Amino acid sequence: MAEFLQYTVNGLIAGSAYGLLALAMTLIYGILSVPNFALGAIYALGAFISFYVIQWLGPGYYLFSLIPVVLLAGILGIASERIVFRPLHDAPHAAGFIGALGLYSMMEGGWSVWFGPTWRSIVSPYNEIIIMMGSVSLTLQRLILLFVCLLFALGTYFLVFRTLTGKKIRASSENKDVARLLGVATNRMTSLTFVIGYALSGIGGALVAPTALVGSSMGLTPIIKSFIVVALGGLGSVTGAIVGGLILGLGENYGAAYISSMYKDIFSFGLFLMVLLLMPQGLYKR
Amino acid sequence: MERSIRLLIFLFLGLVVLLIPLLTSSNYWIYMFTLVGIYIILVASLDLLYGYTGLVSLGHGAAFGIGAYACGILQVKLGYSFLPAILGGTLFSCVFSAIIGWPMLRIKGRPYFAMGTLAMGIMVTIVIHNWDSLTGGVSLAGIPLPPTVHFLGWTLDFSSKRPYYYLVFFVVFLSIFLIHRLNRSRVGRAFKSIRENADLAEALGVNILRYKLISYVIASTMAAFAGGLYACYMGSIEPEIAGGHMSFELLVMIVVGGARTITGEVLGPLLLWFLPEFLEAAQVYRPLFYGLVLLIVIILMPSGIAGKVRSLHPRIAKWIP
Repeated sequence: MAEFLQYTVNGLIAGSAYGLLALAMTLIYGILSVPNFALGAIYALGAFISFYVIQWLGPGYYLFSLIPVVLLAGILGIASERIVFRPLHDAPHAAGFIGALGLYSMMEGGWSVWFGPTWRSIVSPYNEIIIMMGSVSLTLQRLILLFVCLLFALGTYFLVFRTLTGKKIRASSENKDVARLLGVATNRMTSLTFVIGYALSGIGGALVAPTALVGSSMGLTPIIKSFIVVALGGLGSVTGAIVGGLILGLGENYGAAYISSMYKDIFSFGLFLMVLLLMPQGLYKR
Repeated sequence: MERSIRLLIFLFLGLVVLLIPLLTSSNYWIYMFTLVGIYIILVASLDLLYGYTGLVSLGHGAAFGIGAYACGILQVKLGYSFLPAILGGTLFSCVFSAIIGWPMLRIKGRPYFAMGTLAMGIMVTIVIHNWDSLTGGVSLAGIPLPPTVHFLGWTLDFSSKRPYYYLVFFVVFLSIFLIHRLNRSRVGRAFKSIRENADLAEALGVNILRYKLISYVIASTMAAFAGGLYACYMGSIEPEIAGGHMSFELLVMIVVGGARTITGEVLGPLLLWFLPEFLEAAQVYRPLFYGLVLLIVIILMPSGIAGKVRSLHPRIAKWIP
C-alpha cells in the first residue's frame, strides 16, 4: 500500500508536467488543427534558461527563470505564427505539419549549436531536501514542480473558461469564419494562443529542468507524449489535456513499477493505440 | 511522344548509373553512391505514401530499421543465408506494418497517422536498444555480405564494392518502376482520390482504409527490403537507423526534391546527402540545416524543386518525369 501511494504521487508529478505541455498542444491544435512540434523545442529552451539562471544567480532564484522564459517563448510564438503558420494556413496537404516539423528541427539544431550538444544536469539544493508525508517521500524540487504546474494549468483553465478573452479564443477555435463575422479579431486570438501555448511549454521545461537532464533534444519525447495525452483527452479539449496528462503520468509510473521500468516509454504508445482502437473521440469530445 | 521522352530519360539515367563506377577508381565514391541508392529506394517508397496517397509518415525509418534488423538477426543469430534472410525480414516488416497501420489509419482527417508513426519509430529504437540478447543492443555486428554468385560464366563477388553497387541500383530501378506502374493502375487512382478528397472518394465507394493500408504496407515493405540491403552492405547496424532523425531526413528529402515526381525522388537524396558532405559541415549543424531547408521549401515552393521547375513551362514539364 505504501509503495502504491508512492507510485501514485510520482505519477501525479509526472502527469502534471505532461498536462501542462498537453495544454499548450491542445490550445494550439484547437486553433490551427496542426500538432505543433516546435513546442518541444520551446520546452528545451525553457530548461536551458532555467539552467543558466540557476548557474548565474543561484538556485534560490529558480522560479525567477520563468520571467525570461515567458518573454522569450512569447516572442518566438508570435514569430513562428507570423512567419511559418500564417503563410501555410491555406496551403494544401499537410503543409502546416511539415512546417511545424521544420521549425522544430531548426530550433533543436539551433539550441544544439548555441548551447552545445552535451547533456547537463542542474545541481540544486532542493533536490536534497526530502519531505515525508506519511509513508510517501518526495524532494522539495518535485513538490515545487507539482504545485507550479498545477497553478499554471488552473490559471490557463480559468483564462479559457471564465474570461471574455477565453471565450474569444474558444470561438476562434470552434469556427474561425463565424467568429470573425461576430467581431472577434481571430488573427489576434491566434497570436495570443501561440503566446500562451509557447509560454506554457517553456514554463514546463523550466520547471522540469532541475529534475531531468538538460539537452537540446530533451523535448521530443515529452512533446510526442503530450500529443498522445491530447488524443486521449480529446483533440482541442482543455479539460481533457489536464485529465489525460494525469492519467498518462499515473499509468506510466504504475506500469514501470509493476511491469517493467525499461520499457516505460512504450506504455504511452500502447495507450495511444488503445485510444485509437477503443475511443477515437477521446475522453472529452469537443 | 511523352512516352518516348520518358524512355530516353530512363536510358540516359541507366547509362549514368552504369558509367559512374567506370569514371571513378575510388572506392569511397562507389560507397557513397551505393548509400544514395539505398536512400533513393527509401525516398521513392515514402513518396508513394506522402506524395501519392497524401499520408505524412514520420516512421519510415522504423520500417527500414525493422527490415535491416530482421535481416541481420536471421543471419547472425539464426544462421540463415542472404536470400531467405532478406526476404524473411521484408515479410516480417510487411506483416508488422499491416498490424500497426490499421489502428493508426482508421480515423481520417486527423494527424493520428503522422504522430503515431513518429511515436512508433521511437518505440522501435527503444525496443532494439533494450532487447540486447536478440538485437545486440548498441549495435549488431558481423552481418555477412551476400555469397558469390556464378551466373552464365559471370562471377559476382560482393566483397568488392562494384557488384553491390549494381545490385542496389538494380533494385532502385525496379522499385521506381513498380511504384509508377502501381500509380497508373486502378489502385493508384484510388490513392489519388484519397489524397485529393477522402470524403468524396468514400462517398463514391472507395474503401479508403483498405487503400491507405495497401499504400502503407507496400511502402514499408520496400523500405524493409532497402534495410536488408543496407544491413548486409554495412556489416553492422545501430538502433538509430530506425529513429526519428532518419525518418525526418527522408521526409525532408522528398519534400525538397519534389513529391510525385521521379526527378524529386532521385534529386532529394542526391542533394541532401552530398550537400552537407560538400559543405563539410559538422554533424552539429545538420538538424539546423535540414530544418531551415525544409521551412524555406515548404513556404516558398511547396511542390519542391522538381515541382517548381515543372511549373515554369509545360515544355519543361514534359522533360521532367
